[in-house]
Amino acid sequence: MELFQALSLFGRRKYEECTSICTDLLKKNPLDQAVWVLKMRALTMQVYVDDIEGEEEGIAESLLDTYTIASMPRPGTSLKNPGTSFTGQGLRPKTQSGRPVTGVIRPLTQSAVSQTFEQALKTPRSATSARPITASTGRNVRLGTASMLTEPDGPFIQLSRLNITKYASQPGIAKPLFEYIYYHEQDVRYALDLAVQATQVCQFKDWWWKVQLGKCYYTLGLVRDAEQQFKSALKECKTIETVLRLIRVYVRLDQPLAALETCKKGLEYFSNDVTILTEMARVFEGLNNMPMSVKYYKMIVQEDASHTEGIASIGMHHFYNDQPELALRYYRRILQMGVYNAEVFNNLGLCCFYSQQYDHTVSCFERAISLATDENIADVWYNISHIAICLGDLEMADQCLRLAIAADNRYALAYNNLGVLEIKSNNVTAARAYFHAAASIADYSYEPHFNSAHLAYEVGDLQTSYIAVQKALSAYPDHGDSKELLKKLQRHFSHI
Amino acid sequence: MNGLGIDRHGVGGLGTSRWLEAIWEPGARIYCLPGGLEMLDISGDGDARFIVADLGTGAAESAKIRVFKGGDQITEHSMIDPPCGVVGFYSENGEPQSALLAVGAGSSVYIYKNMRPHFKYCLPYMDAHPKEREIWHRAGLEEELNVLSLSDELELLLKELGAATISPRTLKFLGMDVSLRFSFAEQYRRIPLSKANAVTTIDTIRKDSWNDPASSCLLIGTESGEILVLDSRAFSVVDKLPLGWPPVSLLSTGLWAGDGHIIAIGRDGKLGSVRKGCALRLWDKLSAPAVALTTLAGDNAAVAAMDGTLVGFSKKGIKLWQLQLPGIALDLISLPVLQSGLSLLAVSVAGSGVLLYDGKFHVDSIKTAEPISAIKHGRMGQEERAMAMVTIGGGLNVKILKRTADFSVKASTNPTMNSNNNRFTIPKKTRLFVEQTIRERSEAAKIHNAFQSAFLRLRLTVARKAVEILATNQEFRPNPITLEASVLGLGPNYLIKILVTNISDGLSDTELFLVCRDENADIKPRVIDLPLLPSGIPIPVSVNATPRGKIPGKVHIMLCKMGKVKPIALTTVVLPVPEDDIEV
Repeated sequence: MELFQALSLFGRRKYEECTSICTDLLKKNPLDQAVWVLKMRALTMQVYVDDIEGEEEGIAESLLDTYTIASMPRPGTSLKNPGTSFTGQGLRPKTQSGRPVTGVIRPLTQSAVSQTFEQALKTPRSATSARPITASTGRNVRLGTASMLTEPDGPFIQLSRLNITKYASQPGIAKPLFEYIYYHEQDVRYALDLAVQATQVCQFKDWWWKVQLGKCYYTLGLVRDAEQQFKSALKECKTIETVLRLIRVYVRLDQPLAALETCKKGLEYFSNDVTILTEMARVFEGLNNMPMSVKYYKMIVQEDASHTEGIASIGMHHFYNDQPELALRYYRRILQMGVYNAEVFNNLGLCCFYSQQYDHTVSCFERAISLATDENIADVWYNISHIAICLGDLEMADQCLRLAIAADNRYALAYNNLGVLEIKSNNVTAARAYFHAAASIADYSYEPHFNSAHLAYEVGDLQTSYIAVQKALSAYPDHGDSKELLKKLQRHFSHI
Repeated sequence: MNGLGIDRHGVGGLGTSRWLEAIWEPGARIYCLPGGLEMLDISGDGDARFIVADLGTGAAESAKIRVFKGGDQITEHSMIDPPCGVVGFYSENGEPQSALLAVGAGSSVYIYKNMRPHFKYCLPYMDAHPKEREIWHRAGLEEELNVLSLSDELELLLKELGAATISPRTLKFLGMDVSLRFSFAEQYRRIPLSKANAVTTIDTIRKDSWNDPASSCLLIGTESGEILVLDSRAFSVVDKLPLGWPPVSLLSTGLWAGDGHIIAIGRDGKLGSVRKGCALRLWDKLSAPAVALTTLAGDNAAVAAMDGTLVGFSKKGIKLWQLQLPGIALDLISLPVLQSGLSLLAVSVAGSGVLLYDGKFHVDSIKTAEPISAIKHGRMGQEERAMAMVTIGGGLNVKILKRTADFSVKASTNPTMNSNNNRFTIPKKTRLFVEQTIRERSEAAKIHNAFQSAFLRLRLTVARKAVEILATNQEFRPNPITLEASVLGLGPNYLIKILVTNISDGLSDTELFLVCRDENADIKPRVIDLPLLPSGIPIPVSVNATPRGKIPGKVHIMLCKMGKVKPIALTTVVLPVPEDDIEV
């Protein structure tokens, strides 16, 4: 009777009650396997997360990565060197971590593409996001310890005393046990051990075990092994999850073209699947191929009309492509869908301003200010400063930028613009200091480098100007003004 | 952009190489510069030799003339002075036996016949500066030589005129040890003072015939700023063409007896042409010193300059085109392709080997392992179309142009086509935009009023916030010092790096110090005294921080002044939660 009640509770997703009943039952009869498995399932389901998108690339992955062979890949074949195939109007600004702005914040957009160790150690944390991302394995372990704390009297299963070989041969128990170890205990090495033995028992014929093996390898950073497992699993059974995981493997290996190939193959079996299309759009976005990315986002929105990421990405594409009135439509749609936060109002305000709907602009920004949290208030102030600059109110712009810096003292673009404002009021020393600060925070953005190069050139400090303009060109090789300045400098130097 | 497009096409159109590899002699140890190579049938037996004016490797080896047959050296002739150029010419029309080789070195031109010394032409002496001559003359007249006054006077003169106009005798005298000067002056003071001229460059011009071989006149550029034209039989000066500046490279077109003219380039990039009986006509002044000068299709001229530009001039001195080479030019020759009637330019570019241009169009590239320091195209052995290339490292590479080589790339690539490919894409104005403009026009006044009043409100909000945030915790006044803090490290021990910059023009205040405050971490040191801050230079300050618990904490870094209650500036960083140690 109590077992039935527990099962019923499990079915109604009341996992905590179910667990407590199972605990009582297990006290009476510790060897009841049915109850044991049920408790395992209930505990697993409590912490079960969709981990396909839950990963972040940490310092260990991005910097100590031994898989990247070509350090200078051809443009368009690597996510780390996406090339400058800009065909649109402007250049998308970059986020604090140095990636071009994407429509939504999602995993893998926050960690930095770092070239140097110091940059890698510096960028992931700012005044607002203080997340130290050393390695994704470390992150998983930390999540695991959090769930352990809730256990009142010790762990449910002592992993070290578990006879893995015995359970691996019982398929009915092995699978829940694996999920329990993987998701609840977060002990990937034990889970891998179990998966290896279980897949041997079923003579390498069960695709589910192969996917789990791949998951374990991937978490442990053995990406090539994971790729093998996923490929082998896909031969036996096509599932969207496996396709997605294989795409992730290729993205992690920095092989965007292979990832796109996998996406296309996946779409042959699961035509118009939103998750696969999303991956495709993201890879194209990472390759700076915005027209293709938007094409796929549009397909996504046709399939799923309330797909926030799709709508936001299309909106942003239109905004940076000089069509703010269309972007306004998309952001309004997001607002209608019930997203009510500072970011949306901020974007709406900007769209209104640039599409000349001035009467709505300020009210949007006022709402953005009132809804803003500590994390995004700096962005709002920064954007208001643009409005002020456009209207010629430089004093207000100065105040806005100072507010942005007060909210986030590593806001490189704010420092840069503050420097430009200082030049307007003839404070060359202050401007130089601000550009220097901006350049040292955001080595990846070309504006502060170019500005300080230009300033140094005007003052006559050609050597400093030369060094800075080279940095600007390495951040944005096609920047016309920088090229021109470099040419001028070369002429000066060849005369000397 | 255009060059890039053509480049790609050129490489794509090259199925097979247009060149045959003839000789590759990496150990030839030839060290020469543009103008130091010649190909001449010295004995008239129909077998052309390759002649090199080798400058030698500094002190160890002196300069010499080396003669190669194929890749093997057959003879070498030592030179006293380093040669500035070597040219071959004929003294008689239609007689291949009359081949002569002229080498310009020091103040003489050495003429070899069949590689035996034949004649030495010495440049006439130049007049020394009158003041200098006067000093030496007086010294010659004196009964008892006063060395001290002589050296004082010469010393003064040297300072006044500079070393370029002083004769070698004076320079040597002043460069000597004081004890040796007397005997030197005693030896020379009664000999009239003269100043040697120097050969700067050497070339030939056809005398009166277009046939091959034809007799030519020698052209000698001198340091005194003249071109001497030497007769090929008597080696007497036929004409003197004054330039006013020493030429470094000469080029002749036409016949000396006819309308031939000579194009000359000076050290400072001056470029001009001169004709028999006419004064110099200055064409242009190049932006950088010239590397080499050569003929370009017909009577035109092409110049490679040291800033990597290649310029084409018409025979009237009009600049036809200019292009930027992908690197620094090392040598430039013209490369006539007889079967197709083309006249190409071969430019040696550091880093990209030898590039071939038809006019300004790039048609072919020869990749080489080392940069090429000098090129010469001509007849070598029995082969009419050999191109000899000497690498920087001293290797000799000879390639032969295939008879089937086709350089007709120019017709298929139109440079204007390429530039249109990456046009700026401008999105069309949407219907929505048009609708919105209609609304704007109809309700302009209302929109404007609404916006202005709202903007005033926003301005007030901003100002209020600014006062609230910027003035509550710190002194609200223009702040001449900025703080920029970053957290380094993986934890649990972090390093906070603070850059303190004085952005005012003067020195900063005294008695400034930094205070770091955090409830949740141990910070060492908590208070840092700042030095006097110079203007515009960021001063780095480092602080160690260790969080006490597992809660991330904000660290307030305050810049304070002694005697003031409120800090001057304040900035905040967040210490991340350290990760747990992973047992390995």
